[in-house]
This record gives sequence, structure tokens and C-alpha cells, in this order.
Amino acid sequence: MAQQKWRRYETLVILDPTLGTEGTEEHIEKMRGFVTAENGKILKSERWGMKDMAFELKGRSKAYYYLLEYAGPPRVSTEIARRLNLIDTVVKFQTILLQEAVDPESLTEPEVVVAEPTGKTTGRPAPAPASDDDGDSDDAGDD
Amino acid sequence: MAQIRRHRRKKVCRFCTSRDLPLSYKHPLVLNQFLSDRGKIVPRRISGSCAYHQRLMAIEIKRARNVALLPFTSNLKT
Repeated sequence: MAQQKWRRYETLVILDPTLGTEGTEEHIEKMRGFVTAENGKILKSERWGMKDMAFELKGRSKAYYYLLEYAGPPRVSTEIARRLNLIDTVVKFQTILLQEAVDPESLTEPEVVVAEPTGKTTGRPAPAPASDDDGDSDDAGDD
Repeated sequence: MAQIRRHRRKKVCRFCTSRDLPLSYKHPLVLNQFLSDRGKIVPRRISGSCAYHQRLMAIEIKRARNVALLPFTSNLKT
């Protein structure tokens, strides 16, 4: 029987801001372990760092954001969700299916690591121009 | 009575015109331009987005709201 097709997922995890650097790293390592334990492959990891949230979540107005992109058999996402639900310091997480069928053999590129942005980390990933909602804002899209 | 008809420039979909504009929940500042002051999704009629991109945008905005990158509502007092 042919090997089962893999799926490609990404999970954004919101961690408690009071964990500190070590605690955060520990959680990140744990999460990566969840993927590899299920025979998945990590494709990308992005540390977004500490960010202001748009609204309070569980009494916190700031949190540490970490994004992990991986591929694996379909059970890998449910397993990660189950395990993350057991950790109290994970404020919230969101998993998105990026690709239905991936050939495990084709995933040969090394993992892409995006480091935490330096300086003030309250900013968002992409700078964008100010906008107005009216119809005359046609040439604001310069990025 | 003769009606004065002002010429209006046709609105265009920003995601169609600039292909490299990211449409993803990971870019909340881009999506934020398609939210009203109250945090509601601006309709196509106002924003000029095409149906395809409006549909994708609504999904991405909801994803961003889910992880607190965009607000569900503003704190404006009525």
C-alpha cells in the first residue's frame, strides 16, 4: 500500500506573556516535539514576538505569538490541538489547513526560520498606509 | 430639471490591481483598511473589491479576529 498522503498545516499559538524567554522557548520546543512525534516535518517557524492584541483574551492584553508551519499525516493536527489544549499557558491557538495532499518525498527543503523582530515588538508584520473607507482611496495600495 | 451628474471614478479591487498586496490573516494592517471604524467588514459596494477577493478577505478577517490581531468591534461609545 502506498504511503498515506500528508497535509500541510500552519498553527499560530498565542502564549502567555508572563512566561519569560526561557518559558517561551520551552513551549516552542515542546510544540515542535509534538510535530516530530507524529512523524511530521517542520517547514517553517516564525517568532512574531510580543504583540499587543486587538482585544483582551483571558485577561491579557499582550501575548507572545509563534507560528509553526508543518506537514504530516492528518492526525498530526488533531494531536497538536489535543496537546495544546492541555497546556494552561497557551492562551489560544489556530490551525489552518494549507494544502490537502502533499507528497512527503517532495518536502526536501530545509526549515525556514524567521526570527523575532528586533526593536519594539508592538508593530505588526507588514506596514501599510493609512486608508479611508470612501471610494476615493484608489491609489493607497503602494505595498 | 436637469440633474447634475458627477463623474465618479470606477472603483477597482485593490487585490486585483496590486497582485503583491498580501491577503492573509498574518497581515492585519492590510485587512484593517477594509474594516469600518466600528470594526465591521466594509461591503463591496463601498470598498470596490471584486467578489472573489471580498470572499477571501472576509475569511481572512475572521481568522485574524480569532487570534486577536483584528477587533471584533471597537470600543466606541454610542
